[in-house]
Amino acid sequence: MIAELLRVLGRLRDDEGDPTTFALVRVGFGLLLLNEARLATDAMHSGFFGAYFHQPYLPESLVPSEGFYELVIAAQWIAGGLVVIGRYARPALLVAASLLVYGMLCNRLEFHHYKHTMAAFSTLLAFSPCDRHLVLGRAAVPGPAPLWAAHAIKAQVSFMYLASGGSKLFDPDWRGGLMMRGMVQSFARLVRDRGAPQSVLDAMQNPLGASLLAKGAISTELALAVLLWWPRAFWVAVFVGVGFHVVISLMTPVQLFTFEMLFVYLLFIGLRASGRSDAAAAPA
Amino acid sequence: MGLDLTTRGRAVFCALFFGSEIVLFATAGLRTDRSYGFRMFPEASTITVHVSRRLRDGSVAPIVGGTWTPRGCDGPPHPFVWGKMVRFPAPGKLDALVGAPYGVDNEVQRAHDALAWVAAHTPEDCETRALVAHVEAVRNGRPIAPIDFEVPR
Repeated sequence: MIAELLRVLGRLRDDEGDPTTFALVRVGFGLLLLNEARLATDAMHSGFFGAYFHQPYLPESLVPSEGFYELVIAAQWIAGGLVVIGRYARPALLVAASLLVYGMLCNRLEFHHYKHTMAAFSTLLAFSPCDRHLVLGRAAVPGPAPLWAAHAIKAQVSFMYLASGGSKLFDPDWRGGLMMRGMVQSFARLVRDRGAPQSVLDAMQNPLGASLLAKGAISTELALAVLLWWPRAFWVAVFVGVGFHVVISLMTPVQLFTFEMLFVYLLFIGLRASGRSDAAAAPA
Repeated sequence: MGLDLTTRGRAVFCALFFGSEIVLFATAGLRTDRSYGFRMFPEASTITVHVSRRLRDGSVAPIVGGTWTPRGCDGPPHPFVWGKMVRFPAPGKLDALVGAPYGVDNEVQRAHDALAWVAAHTPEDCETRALVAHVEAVRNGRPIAPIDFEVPR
């Protein structure tokens, strides 16, 4: 069993294939990183965060001054732009991820799960051959390339689903539907504005409906963590996973996390289309 | 820049990266916001923060409408506005229902830290000895016992 696991891990580590999809995903994450720079710029227009109440994890001496923070935002713009055009894209991904984390460490109020995952995915993408295609002013570099980073990104996705689904499973309020009921109530207006019929909203807010919805969400996350690795269930997992994230973004204000997940699912589909995902995970 | 790792480098990198993720997940419960633990949508909760000022004579004066105008150290009164010093997503509105997306415990900690920040950043207020908070909270639809705390200046 352990020998088989090590053999599969070894194949995932050494796997090679067409890296074109990495470039597409890089451009997608570059646009998301540029959007982060835009959001930080917009926030500065209503005042520097250090001038009013903030919650730093770091010692206050490491929280930037207003002038230095403007440089941080400028670096975010430059890094995001480089990621999009493909020039110095991989170091730029690391810089952008570090700046995201630094921002959250300077002010806990700025923490969001989507920023954490964006930093994690950007870091992993930096170690992928994502700069072989779609580089401004440079021809594509043909040929196979290492795909281990794509498998690491898939492991990150599985870990997230396990952590999220597992923590909900062990929380009685979540498992029983109390949290789901409250969440649907608080976002009811948003969901109605997006075209959901009142009857659907009513069904989701009654105790049975909320309980079923909660159990469905937990089951989906835990199942996806496993099914993404099972070659025969791959397309079902992609269909369910994409649908799951689209539904979340229709029911809540969550948008950026959905884009992130759609980009990583695109990566998995690209790998599968080139036949590598199966080859690496399949038994010898 | 050394981003094309050797096979050994890949294994070391993954061990460090996912080891860090596991540590962050395992310690998420130690942080009130459960940050870096991938605990999405932890609660559907709300809190209402009421703040009063404990004056030098020991009496308590509620802050109404998020503003107060104590006597300044140099004589004339100094107006203060809570919402200018504490902004969303911290409890920027007093006496009003605010969402607690990362849970009641986290929003209460934010309120406590906000009081401490305001207490430390209003040196012109020579009248207030402490800020006193009374927090009403509803966790996943169920009211819980009010939380009271005081932050000295």
